[in-house]
Amino acid sequence: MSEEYNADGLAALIRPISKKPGALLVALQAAQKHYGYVPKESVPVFADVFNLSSAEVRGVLSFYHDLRDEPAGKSIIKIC
Amino acid sequence: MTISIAIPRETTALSLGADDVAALIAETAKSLSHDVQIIRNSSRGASWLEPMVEIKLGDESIAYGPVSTDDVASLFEADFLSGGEHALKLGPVQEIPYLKAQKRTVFERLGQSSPLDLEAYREAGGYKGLEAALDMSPQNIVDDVKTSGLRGRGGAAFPAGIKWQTVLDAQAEQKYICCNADEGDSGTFSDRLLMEGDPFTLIEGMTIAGIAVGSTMGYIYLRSEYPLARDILQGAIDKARKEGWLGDSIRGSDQSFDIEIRMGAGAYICGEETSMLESLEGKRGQVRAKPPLPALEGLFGKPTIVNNVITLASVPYIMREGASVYESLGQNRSKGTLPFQLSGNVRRPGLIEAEFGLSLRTLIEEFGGGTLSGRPVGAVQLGGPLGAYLGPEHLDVELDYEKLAEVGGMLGHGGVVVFDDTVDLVAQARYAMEFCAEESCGKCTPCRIGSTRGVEVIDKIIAKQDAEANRELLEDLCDTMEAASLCAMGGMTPFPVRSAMSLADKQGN
Repeated sequence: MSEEYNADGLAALIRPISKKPGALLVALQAAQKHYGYVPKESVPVFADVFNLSSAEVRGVLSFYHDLRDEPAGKSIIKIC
Repeated sequence: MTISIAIPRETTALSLGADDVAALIAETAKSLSHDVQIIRNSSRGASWLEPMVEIKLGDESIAYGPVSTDDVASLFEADFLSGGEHALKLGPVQEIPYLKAQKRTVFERLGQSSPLDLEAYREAGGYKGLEAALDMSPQNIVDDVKTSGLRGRGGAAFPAGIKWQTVLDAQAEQKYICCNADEGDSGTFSDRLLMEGDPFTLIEGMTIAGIAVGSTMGYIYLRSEYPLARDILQGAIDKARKEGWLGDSIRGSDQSFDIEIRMGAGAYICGEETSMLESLEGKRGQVRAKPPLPALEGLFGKPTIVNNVITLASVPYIMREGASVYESLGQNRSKGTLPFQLSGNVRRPGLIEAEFGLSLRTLIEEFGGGTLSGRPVGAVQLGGPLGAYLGPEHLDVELDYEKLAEVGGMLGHGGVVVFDDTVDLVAQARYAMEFCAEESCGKCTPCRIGSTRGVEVIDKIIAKQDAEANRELLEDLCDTMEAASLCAMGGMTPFPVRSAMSLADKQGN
């Protein structure tokens, strides 16, 4: 169901989102929904589109429990 | 004649099989040639009766519950479509004692109709508060909120009117209304019930807040664990926009306001207001030092009202009924009602909206029916993972902000989690520290490192390793966390830790 990652596809996906104020997290969530995860190699693409440093993007990506930078298993179980 | 059957589409009911029940009822009715219409309403808040099925007969709704798919055949045999007798029959829904004994203001419409039925919302008094506000000056609206005595329902209980006044008085081109819907406290679910069951109330409350302080944009920061609430809220926002209740020139006035939902990403700390603002700005959810107050420098550095879902959703009632009506409810400086959320080891968990001042015993015994295990109550945690544990000696405390503070407890967001006398309180204390270690944003040292050291120290106490000295060390650590943390996460973790440890001492385990 998830598409294979490619930089151009990601840039096209997140560029419209980047027009909204403060939407990096929204873009990361959109990417994860699209690819199933946020690939490590996509960090520079986010940095470029949002005019941020890779460190800032990496910082946000690593902060949130929901975001993952590698593919997840087949079933995701959440306990809350 | 078409018979209307209401079956909740709400997370608790769904997890108990409401969809399957609805499908089976529809299928059976069809095969028996009954003319029925199934309405997906919301839960009424009596979680222990879910899935609760209601049959609309004239002005009454006859309830049956909890209904499983195994009961459907016998319900049809008992002619439940005409209100027939059945072991699961609860009678007219408003006569169910659990619901009848409540005082509902925020949740007055919960479960009465489909959450996206704007017409039903208006017939039941919806948007009357906003209509009143549209004819008032901003200062008059803020004055009403002040007079009502409404305090923040997220946990801190700060007077809402004073916060609104600060934002009204601030000069800025853009101001924001941020609704904190990151309901992460353990044992709390009132925000979810409101958003899933009566979303227009929140939208109306936020719009009134926008008009009151001169803001045209609102954000709802919703936790990612609430996907159904997101769908329902988004549906409601779209509908409100279409009908002119959101967007430019609301209902032909010169007021504009719009709302966007932003999803959280699984960080408990983002329920802390400054951390939430960072997250809304797309950053790591790390807390900010205060001052500056978010009311003056909040989202994107602009004056911002940050209020909890229930705070904002209380406002339409206040504007419609009058501030003095709301102010006459409750006691002491705790005015109005609080939706208590009862869960844990209790027979009848659910939402209980009541005036401040009822006793913990009334809540647990009369509403909750005592513990599910049948054993005596051992401890009650009030106010989420940062709230204190109260022992059975405090069951008669009246639930308001002031009385609870006197016994070292807090109401927080209104979560009440009941434990029986087999609870391992030292393990609960350890859990509080562990939770803080896991969810700390990492910005300040007392919280980030203190919580990890706290787990280690409690482990040593459990292992009876130098227990007395380590007990003293734990107290010392708690002092540091309480006094030196940036926000309530580190600052209040000592509450459950200390109260659980001292209760454990008393109970001799």
